[in-house]
Formats: sequence, C-alpha cells, structure tokens
Amino acid sequence: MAKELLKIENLKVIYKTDMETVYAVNGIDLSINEQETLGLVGETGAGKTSTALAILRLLPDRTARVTDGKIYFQGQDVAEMDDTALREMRGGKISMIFQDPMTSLNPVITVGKQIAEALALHNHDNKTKEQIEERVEEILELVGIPGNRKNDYPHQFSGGMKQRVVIAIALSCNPQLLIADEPTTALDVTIQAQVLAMMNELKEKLKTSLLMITHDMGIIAQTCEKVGVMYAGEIIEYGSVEDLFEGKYHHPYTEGLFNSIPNIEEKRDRLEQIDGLMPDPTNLPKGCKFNPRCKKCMEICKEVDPPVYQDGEHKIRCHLFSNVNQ
Amino acid sequence: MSNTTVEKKRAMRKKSRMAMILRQFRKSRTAMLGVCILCFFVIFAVFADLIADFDEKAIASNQDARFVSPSLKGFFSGEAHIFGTDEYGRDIFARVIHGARVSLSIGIIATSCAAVVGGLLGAAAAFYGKKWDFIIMRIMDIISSVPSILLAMAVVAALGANLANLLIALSFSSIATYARLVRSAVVTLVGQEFIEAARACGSSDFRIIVKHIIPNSLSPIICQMAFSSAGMILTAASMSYLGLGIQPPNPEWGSMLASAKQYIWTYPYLITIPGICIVLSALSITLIGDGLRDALDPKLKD
Amino acid sequence: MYRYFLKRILLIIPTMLGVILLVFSIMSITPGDPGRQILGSSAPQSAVDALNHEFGIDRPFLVRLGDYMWGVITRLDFGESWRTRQSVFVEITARFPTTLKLSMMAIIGEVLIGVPLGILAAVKQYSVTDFVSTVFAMMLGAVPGFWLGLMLMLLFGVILGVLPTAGLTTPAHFILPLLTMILPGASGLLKITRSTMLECIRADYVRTARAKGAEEKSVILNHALRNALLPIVTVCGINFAHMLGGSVVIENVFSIPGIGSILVNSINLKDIPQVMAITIMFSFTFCLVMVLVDIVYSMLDPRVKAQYQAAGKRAKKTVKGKVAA
Repeated sequence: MAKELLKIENLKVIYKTDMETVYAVNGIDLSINEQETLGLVGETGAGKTSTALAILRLLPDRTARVTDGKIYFQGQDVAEMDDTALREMRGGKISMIFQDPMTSLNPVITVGKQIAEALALHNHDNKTKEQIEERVEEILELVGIPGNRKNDYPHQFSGGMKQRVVIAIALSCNPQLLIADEPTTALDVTIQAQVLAMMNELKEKLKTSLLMITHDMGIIAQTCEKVGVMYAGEIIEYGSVEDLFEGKYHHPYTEGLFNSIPNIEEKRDRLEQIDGLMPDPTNLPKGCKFNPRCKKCMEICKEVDPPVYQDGEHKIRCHLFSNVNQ
Repeated sequence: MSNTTVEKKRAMRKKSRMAMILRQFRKSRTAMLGVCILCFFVIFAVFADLIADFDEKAIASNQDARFVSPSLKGFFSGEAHIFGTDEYGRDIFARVIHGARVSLSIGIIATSCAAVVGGLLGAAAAFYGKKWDFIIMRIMDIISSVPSILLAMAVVAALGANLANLLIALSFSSIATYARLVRSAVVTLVGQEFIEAARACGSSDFRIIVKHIIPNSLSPIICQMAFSSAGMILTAASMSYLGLGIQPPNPEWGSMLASAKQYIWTYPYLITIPGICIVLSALSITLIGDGLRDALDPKLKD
Repeated sequence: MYRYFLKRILLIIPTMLGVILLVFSIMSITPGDPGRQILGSSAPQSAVDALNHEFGIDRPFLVRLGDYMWGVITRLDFGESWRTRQSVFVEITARFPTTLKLSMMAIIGEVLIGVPLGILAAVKQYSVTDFVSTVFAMMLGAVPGFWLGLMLMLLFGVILGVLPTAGLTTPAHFILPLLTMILPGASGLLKITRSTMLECIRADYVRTARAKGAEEKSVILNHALRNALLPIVTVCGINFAHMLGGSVVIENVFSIPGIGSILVNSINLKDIPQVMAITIMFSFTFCLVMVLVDIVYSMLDPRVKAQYQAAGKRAKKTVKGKVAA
C-alpha cells in the first residue's frame, strides 16, 4: 500500500467576529497517499478552502481558529511545527494554487521574480542566481508560457496565463503535495480544459499528490482517484471516483448534485435542483446538517447526528443506510 | 439561536437604509463620543448669551480683575472665573463660549457654502458634458493648484480681514474638492446600469436625479463635509491667529491665542484653554466623520 | 513615457498662467484704493492719487492684467514690492530657501516617523502599539499647527527650559519648529499607511507569498508595503503642499525669517505684488511636487507606468484629476 502523505483528523475551524461565530469546518477526516489525487467537492461555503488553508496554517489569524483536530504531514503535526519547519513546508513540500489568479499575483513584481522568490526560498542544492533564472524560464515553459516573458508584470497577462503563472509558482519547488483550490473557476471553459490537462500531465511527470478542491463534478471525474463530498463543513460522502459515480447508495445531497448536472442521454424538461440554500453557518441545524433541504428527511434526521455507513472505502454519513446490511 | 431572534433579524433587514446607517453609526463608540463632545460645544454656543453676557463679560475690559487664575471660587454666586481672566480682565470662559459660537458657525457655514457651490459646479460639469466640463474642471484644477490656506489668505488680503470675508475665503478655497467629488460621483452614476434601467422604465430625469443619483452620491459628500468642517475650524483659527480672520476684541479661539502668546512665560493657562477647545471641537467632528464613513460605506471599514 | 513626463511638466505652464490670472483677479477686487489704505485716512487726496498712479492701479483691470502677464511671460517679472520698492524676488530669494529647507526636513521626518509606525500598527492590529499610535494620530490630526507649536514652546521652552523658542540660528532652534511641522503630517501618514497596509496584508498575493514559505518580514516589506506605497506617496505630496501653507503659520509662531512671515507682513501692509508673487511661488512648488509624485508613481507601479506610456503615445489627456484624487 502507498505511503500516507497527509492525514487530517477531526478538523474543526471557526471564524469568530464580534458579531457572530461561523462554523466553517465541523470535524472532517481525510488522508492522501503519495501520488494520489483527492477531490473535495461542494458548494461555495462548504468549508473546502478553509480546510486547505488550515493545512498550510494560512487561515487569517485574527478571525479564524482551529478549535479541534490534528493535521499530520508526513507524520508530523502541522500545528506543532516551528517557524522554520513551517516555512520549509509551505512552498517547499506543500504548495497551493489559489482560486483567483487575478488577485493571487503581486501586481508590482515581475512574474519571473515571483517564481524566483519561491525557488530562492527553497534553494536546497545551492543554485546560483543564474541557475535560478534558468529554472524560472524552464518552469514558465513547462506551463506553456515563453520564458522570455519572465520580465513582464502580471497585468500584462490574461487570466488563463496568470493562472499558469500561479501554477508555475506552485510547481517550482517540486512539492510533494499540491493543493489546487478551484484552479479553473475563474477561467473560460476552453482555458479550463487546457489548464486541467496541463495539471494532470505535470502531476504525472513530477509524481506529486494533489488535493483538488472544486465544485465541478466534471473536474472530479477527470482528475481524481478519491473524492470527498463536503456539505456545511462536513464530509458527507467519501469514496473512490467509482464509488461515487457508480456506487449503489448515495447521500441524498450527492444524488442532488448529480441530478443537477445535465445529461446528454436523458430527456428531461428541466434540471432537478436542490431546494433551499446552504444552512446559515452561524446557526447550523441540529442533527443532519442537510435535513432542511433533504427530500428523504425523517424525524430522526432532525434530532440525531447521522451515523456513517461504510462499504469498503465508501463512506456515507446518513440515517437512510443505518438499516442496510453491511 | 431561537426562532424569535431569527424573526428579529429578518425584521431588522427590512428596515430602511437610513435606520441601518443610524444603527451602524450608534454602534461606533468613538463616533458617539464625538457626538457628545460636539453637543457639549453646541449647547454652550447656543446658550452663550444666557450663560455670559457678550458685551459685559466677553468684550468689556475690567482692570481690577486682570490675570485671575482659573479657579472655582465663587462658583455659586456667579462670580467665578473658572478659566481665569485675560490681560484686560475679561472672563476667559465667557470668551471661550462666545468663541465656540463663532468657530462652529464658521465650520458649518463655510462648509455648506463650499459644498453647495462646488457641488453645483461639479454637477453642472457632469451633466452638460464636454465643453462646460472642460472649462469648469480646468478652473477647479487651477484653484486647487494653490495651497488652500494661501488661497484663503490671498482672498483675505484682497477683501480685508473680518468674519464675512473669512467665510468667503474659506469656502472659496475648498470649492474644488466638492466640484471634483460631485462630478466624479455623477459621472460614474450616470453611466451605471441601474440608471439606464430607471430610464428604460420611463423615469423622468428629475426622478432619476432625486431617487437615484442624489442618494447614491451623497455618502462621500457627507463624509467630506464632516472632515472639511473640522479642517475649516482649524484653518479659521490659524488665520485668526495670524490676524487675518476675526479681529480683536471679538472672541475667537485663534485670536485669543494670538494675544495670549506674549504671556506664555507668565500665564500659560491663557494659551492652553482656547487651544483645547479648538482641538476638542475639531476632534469631535473628525470622530463623527469617521463614524459616518464607516456607517455609510461598510466596505471601507477595517 | 518620457514624452508623457515632458508633457506633464509642460502642462505646468498653462496651469501656472491660470493661477496667475486667478491670483491677480482676486487681488484686484480689493474694495477701496490701495493708496489710501497704505497712506492712511489723514493723507491728502493728491498724495493718494500720486501713489495709486505710481503703482499703476488707476488703470483699468484688463490693462493691468495684460501688463502683468506680459511682464511675467516675457521677463519673468513679477513686479516690485510696494513696500520696499524692490523686485519681489529680492525678498523671495532671501527667504524661500529657509522655508524650503524646513519643509524638506519636515517631510523627511514625517516619512521616517509616520510610515514605520503605520506599518507597525497595521501588522500588530488591535495591539497596544496600534491603539496608542492610532489615538495619538487621531488627536494630532485635530491639533492646529500653531497651537501645537505654542504648546511645545510652553513645554520645552518655558517649563523644561531646554530648547530655544524663537529664531533659527543654531541646530537646536530647528527642533521645535520641525516637531511642530512633522507631528500633524506624520499622524496623517500613519493613518493612511495603517489603513492601506491593512488592506494589502489581507490581499491574496500576500497569502500567495506566505504560501511560498516567505518570511513574515519579507511578506510585509516586499509584498504588502510595495503595494501600499502608492497612496502613501500621494499623501506625502499633499502633505508637502499643506506644509508649505502651514509653514506660513509656524514661521510666525517661532519667529523664523522664512517666506511665511514676510507673507503675513505683506498682507497686513497691503503689499499686493509681494503677496501675489509668494502665492504664485508656492503654487509653482506645489505643481512641481505633484509632477514628482506622478513620476514616483510610475516607478512604483508597473500598471501606472503602462498607463502613462499609453497616455504618452496618445498625447491627449491630462492626468490632473487623478493627481488630486
């Protein structure tokens, strides 16, 4: 069996302001093995980004707090790391591609320097300045940007190109784990496909593990091996891509997600939708968090936290399957 | 959270924008402090005549009571000089409250004049477009190329130093700010979709201006007015200090300081008290301005 | 881009002509005649008329204006002081360097105090440092310069008796006037630095820099501060203009023989050509500083630079409005 790279146990994150407390992540467990791709899928506000930021300890320190749980990277507790170890992990071992390429790059520094910064910070084999410059061009070309554009500023690039630069920064130090937070959301569909293809290719080439955060089931199907479906800060269904797309049982939310994807082979008047909105994260419902929107909601769902139904690696957090023979 | 609080929250959301702004404003403790200090000054300014007679206490000299130190002696018999007396034996407290009247009215009147004149010019520039826009805004550019206190001094130099001319000078020197502010607000608004939408729905120009443009361009102007009235009070005091504003023996904080400067070695309270009044009044208005800005535009809040 | 800056500098000329026109017009609306005001009410009418004739103010407004403008354009001649009967430049050249020197020193002091404190306050938001410096900045923003000068005088000159309070003869004499000029400006700079830094620290690119594993110091200085510099530079420019105006008052407080004291004198003595020349001189300096701010802008922000390059090519629009905003 492959070696475990990242392990998250019962992670809880809250955002606290003067007015209210937002329960963003409510006890999630997951693990990623080496060279494996895990997808986290869910609506906006489901706690995907908070989870990712918690791994790198990048949550805004004034408002956000990790209230419970542990994150282990290569067996080491991230919360216990000292500054040096943390900086070594950030960018060196784990790097992150952020959601919005428009704002993720520093507007007053050339892209070349922004990539070179990452290289210089994790310069283990004592590369000289010239070697770093060479490597910058190499990486830019790897993501499909001519190397001579390293002296340009971010505003001179289009959105798709900027995202490539962001990816280039993330990949520059050959990280063991790449966290991609909605890497294609801000891009056009055609560019999306290119960027995804490029990421898949690079992942193979560099043997990187990938945590892919998205709200797009299509991207999950294209890139991931394992998937966690997040809802209101919990992973409500977890399994391999096959489990999720072809499995017998599903969480009603996952079913809702699938039903809201147009299917070319089926004739339907209109797409089904999941009624209602995500629950107010400051005031989560009792019992199953999905109960106000669930079509199969039972009395017990409103009172008791749902148990986990497990079939091999496939896990579903729902009362519906509590009577199914395991 | 129980159901009732949810209900309350919903009801709150329905309240008008004005009420929301007021609620936001009241929540800011510093803004409320500003309101309290300002109210304090306003009360004294409004009832100045009842508290201390202008001619008798604030103007007439009294050779027997020169340089009386501040004290509460005789407070109940009305004989006290709680802030002391000056070189002519005039009661400083009386002069300070009459000075508050002058300073606060300067702040309010000069700011309103500048806002109205500048605002109209800016709006005209934005509405009539091209030629007028160019002419008006170039003139504003020129006005703002002269540091404002110097412009005010030039006006006073030409017209002579008194209250009316000081007001003219102060308003004139900050017209350009308002013209720019209103112009840019109107120009950006006129191009926006909701104005187009209103027009498409058949709203008249007048209705568009009253219902959409004014409410939407008001908040930066209100904030600017708050900040500039504090600035006006400071500039007015500086001008009077230099002898270019209110003339003695009329009580004004700046001119009180000017005449007190020569007694700095012997009677320091003479320069302390009017100065504190200037600072507190300007500070209170700034605090209110900060509160207003945060309440009107929550985006700007840190 | 150099074309753009050249154009920007050349644009000062029409602006300055406008300023001259404006100042001249303001100065011409004086009620009553200057001769009478200078000589006093007891002087015989003939003497007043003679003086008015000598100053040329018995001629119509447009003739005088044309004459003045012509003198300025062809000979850079701003006329003679009515008081000293010498060229107005005699006083200006004698005294402007003092004012400029003080203002320069003060603006440097402002930056050295305001910016680092602002950064500190932003980085340690809600800390004691932040609270204390914000409160101080708030208070100082409401203190009129001349009263601050008087209070400093009272504290250091009268009560402690350690610093001289009048004149500008020794280095020690500089301390109080400089402090008076620096403190209010520095507080403004502190406020703007704090608020823009707070914004920049929360920006996505700062998170990106942290995710790269950059040290906190580098994150703050290389990434956040470089982006926050733009508004800071603008405020520095505006502060400099304020300082030029404020120096008039401060110089009077500390009896400094700068241009400010001569301005107040000239206003009181109705020496109109001198007042005009000083006002125009200050405005010219202000315009130059604003062009300088523009140039610094383009060095700091590649986006602005690109904009200027485009503007230089088109050679069409002025950027005046942006400068003031």
